[in-house]
Amino acid sequence: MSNHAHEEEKDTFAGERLLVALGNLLRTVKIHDDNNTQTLESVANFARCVVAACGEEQEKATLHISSDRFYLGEEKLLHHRNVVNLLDYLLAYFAERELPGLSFHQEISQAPAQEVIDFARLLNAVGSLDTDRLSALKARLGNLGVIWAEIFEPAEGGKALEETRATVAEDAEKEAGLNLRARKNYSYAMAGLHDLAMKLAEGQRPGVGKLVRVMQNMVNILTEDETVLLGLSSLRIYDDYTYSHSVNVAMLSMCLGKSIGLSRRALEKLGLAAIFHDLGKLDIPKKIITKADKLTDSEYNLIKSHTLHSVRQIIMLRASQKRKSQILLPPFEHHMKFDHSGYPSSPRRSLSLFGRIIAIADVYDAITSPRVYRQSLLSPDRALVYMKKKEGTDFDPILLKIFLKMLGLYPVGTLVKLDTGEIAIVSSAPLAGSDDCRPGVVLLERDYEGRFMKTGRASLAERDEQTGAYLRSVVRTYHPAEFNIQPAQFLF
Amino acid sequence: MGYASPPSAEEVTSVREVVASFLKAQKKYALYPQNHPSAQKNEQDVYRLVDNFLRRHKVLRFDIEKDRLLYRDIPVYEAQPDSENFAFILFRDGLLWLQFEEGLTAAETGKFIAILSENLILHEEAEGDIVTALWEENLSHISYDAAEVFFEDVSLLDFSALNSPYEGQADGAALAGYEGGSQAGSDSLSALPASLDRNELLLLTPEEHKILAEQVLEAEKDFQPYAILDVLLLILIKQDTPKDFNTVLNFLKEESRALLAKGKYAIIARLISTIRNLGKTAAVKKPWYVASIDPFILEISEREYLSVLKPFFLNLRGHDPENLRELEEFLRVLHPRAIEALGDFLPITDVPQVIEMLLEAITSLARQDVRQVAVLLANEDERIVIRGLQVLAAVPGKTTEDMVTGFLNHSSPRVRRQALRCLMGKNTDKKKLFSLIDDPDATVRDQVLAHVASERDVDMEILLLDYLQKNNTWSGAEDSSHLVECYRALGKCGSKRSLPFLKEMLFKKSWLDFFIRGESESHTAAALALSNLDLDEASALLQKGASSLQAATRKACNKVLGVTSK
Repeated sequence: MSNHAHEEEKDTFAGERLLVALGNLLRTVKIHDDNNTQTLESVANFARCVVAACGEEQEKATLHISSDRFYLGEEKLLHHRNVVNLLDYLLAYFAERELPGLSFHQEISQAPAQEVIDFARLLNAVGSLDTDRLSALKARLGNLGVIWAEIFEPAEGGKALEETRATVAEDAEKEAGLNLRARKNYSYAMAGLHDLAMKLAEGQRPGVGKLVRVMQNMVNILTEDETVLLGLSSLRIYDDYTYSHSVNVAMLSMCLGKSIGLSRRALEKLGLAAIFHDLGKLDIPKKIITKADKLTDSEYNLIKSHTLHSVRQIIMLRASQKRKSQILLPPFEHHMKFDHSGYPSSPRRSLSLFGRIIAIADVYDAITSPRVYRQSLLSPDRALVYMKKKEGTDFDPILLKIFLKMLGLYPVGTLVKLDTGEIAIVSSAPLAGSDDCRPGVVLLERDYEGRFMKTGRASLAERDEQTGAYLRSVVRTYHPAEFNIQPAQFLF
Repeated sequence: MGYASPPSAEEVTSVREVVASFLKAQKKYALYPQNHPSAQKNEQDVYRLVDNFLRRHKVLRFDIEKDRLLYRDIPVYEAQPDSENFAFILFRDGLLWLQFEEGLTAAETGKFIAILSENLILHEEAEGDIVTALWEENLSHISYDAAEVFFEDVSLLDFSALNSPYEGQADGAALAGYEGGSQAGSDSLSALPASLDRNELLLLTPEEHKILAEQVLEAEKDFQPYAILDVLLLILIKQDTPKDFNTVLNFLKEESRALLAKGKYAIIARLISTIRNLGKTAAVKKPWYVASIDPFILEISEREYLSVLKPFFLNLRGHDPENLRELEEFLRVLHPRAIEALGDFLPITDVPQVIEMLLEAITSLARQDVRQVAVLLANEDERIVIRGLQVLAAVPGKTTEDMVTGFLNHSSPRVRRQALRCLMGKNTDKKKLFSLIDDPDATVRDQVLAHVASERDVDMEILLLDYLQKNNTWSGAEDSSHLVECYRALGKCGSKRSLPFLKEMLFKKSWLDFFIRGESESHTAAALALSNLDLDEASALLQKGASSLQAATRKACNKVLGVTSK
């Protein structure tokens, strides 16, 4: 019985192994040459996984997407928690190529390695085409003469529709639960940071356990749906700016970290480094931090010293040497700027990846937050323009690109006026593969007392079925604070 | 959680056995290190029981309450009044349920037991707990759910109650006509000039993908060697109070230790030199630097701190010259206190170049404070003592001499020989060296005589003459060969002063001459000495002796002169 159970276990995760092997193959051919050992190993592994997924009775294994989920044949693809990042990556990958799915035949085991490599390179290359990616893929696949792979053509209507309805209901319930968890963890993060800061101010040495727990929870939420944290990061708590800013920066940093493929453990470290990035401000008198007028030179120098103080405060925490070593560098670096023209000055070396990520998240959150000392207020979309102009000087250009793509041209939390006259808040980034100007929105209306209320959701990517024209488009953007709107109130 | 049907008695019994095995394993871990055979055996027992259960039932899920564990609503563990409450350990950190799944490996079981043991006690300012540890390990076949018990008092933020700084300033009704916002397409990314390709804006090139992939790979590594040392040094210099300075310095100390364990010797050597210089140059402005830096240098030179280098010496098979050079560079910047730790490493490596490096480093430190070598000399291991003496041989000074002299009487002849060698190069009282001429060990005696014979020396000549005059009994074979060597040495170190004595010995009448017309050792020895004196008078004596009527004299002289005696 145990052998049979093991056999079942093998079948259950054959789809996961096939996807992992495919993901590995696609990434490996991007980095390595054709005759590199790693390339050849990834080819061999992929072929093995195809054969295993086919099993003894099937001549092919089909991976396809339905309702934002992978299927192997007719069954939902079961997977372990630790491959969620990869699944998201491949979902976006397939969507970018307008690819509903791929079928792989057992004949792959006879195919030359170079043919498999060419196939992988072809899939990668198609992603950079402007239009008609699917047609281009079909054509090039035909030219390649591959007999062991074909593009999956989905069936229409029927059972798929019924499943979609059930999935939608399931997803809505899941979203509500996820939103609540996210809200709770935001509250926990604020409370945990307050508690820690108070203890540091009293000369104690607080532990980091509670905040580690919160960061881990946030990574879990991020893994399930990153837009939740993006939405939450639009929260502005003006009476408690320093702490809410730190929590926002942590969330934005983790989102960016996830976008570049950091592991869950790395995301946890990144989140912790980010939430502590301004810990040094505890050493700066509050009247200077909140001073509305121009700072004197000495006051400015004092402000600048907070990066050094942050490191010292982190050293004071009750945590292992290893953990503190992992998180103290980014707080030191986050104002140095990509070209080292910032502060503090230090021997020239590249900034750490985490430092560069936090720098982007920090500035974005700061310039979209109304402050008494700042006259201008940038809406999220204008903030991105401002930051784009400083790529290569203030910000790592590669990371900034990914940040822009992650947030979309109208980031979550932007207040928009639509060409229909409606007012809305951007609630989610555009779906992978769709137009960057077409995010999801929450529609607002004023009630009889003049207060805003949520009236529904919409996607700006929706088109009129007959004319094909977009149903709604953005005509103007605002910062929500100008109209006393707290976006998170409507997003959660 | 409601279950369709209750489990069988056999099932419940199996689960209780599993729980009991967990308890036992956790207790063993508290007593023994994880790799101890006793702990490992228990771990294997746990795995066997859990695995057997999972093969039959696929899943083993515990629902966790404060004082008990439930399996499918049946209590399978209940805390007893006078013993440790195992359920509470899990409950305390918020675990609601814990589930083991088919496919669980022995390694995962071991990790889980380790997590339990390491988190038995939750300190008030802990770094983590069972839940955070389980998350970090991400064990594929162990799942769980946990409540946020540490935040039970925290209320959910009411987003609607959060104020805006512009409250009251803007009329929301004017939103429709408000000109303050940005017109879409006027100042947003979507309105960027056509010359700027949107793909360029948002999509990475293959080269950028590659750069990013490499950076992510680098960031994923747990250990990033140099990155924070520069920063910590900068932070250190900026500290204005002794307390803060020490805080950062202590952190640097531990960080350096981690780097040493990874073999980054050159970096740490430079760091220590920099800190040391800080103590010298900045002490005027911040006199308390010295009070902090000196103990720091001392601590990193202690045995316990440097024990992190032990694996390097233990596992050494070949050696990398560059690596060895960097290690020596590091060892040389330490306080001489480090000699004790370095002495520990000497017997655990047999690579000649490594031993040589260690000795050079120790010698360099000994030149700063030779008294620290005493710790090597006090070692029970004779090999360490000898190494210590070897080091002292290269360190001049009265103190060194005093330290070594005592070892001339050591119980081990090897040690005595080494002490002798050490003192030979110094201006030691020759009597002390000469005192070993009667050493019970032949090799020691030979060494003394070799030293005596190495050059003409009045003091040694007088000592030797005196000795020979007092020890002139040619009774046993061993004694006589020693005496012969003494005479030979006399010839090498002596002068005209020795002539009368040697003449007397050469021409001495032996009563045996009447009975045995053969060679006499004493006469031969005297002749040898005369020959080595290299004096005309000595040669004349030998010539005279060669024609002596006394057979012993004649034979001895002819032997030495190389003539066959009749």
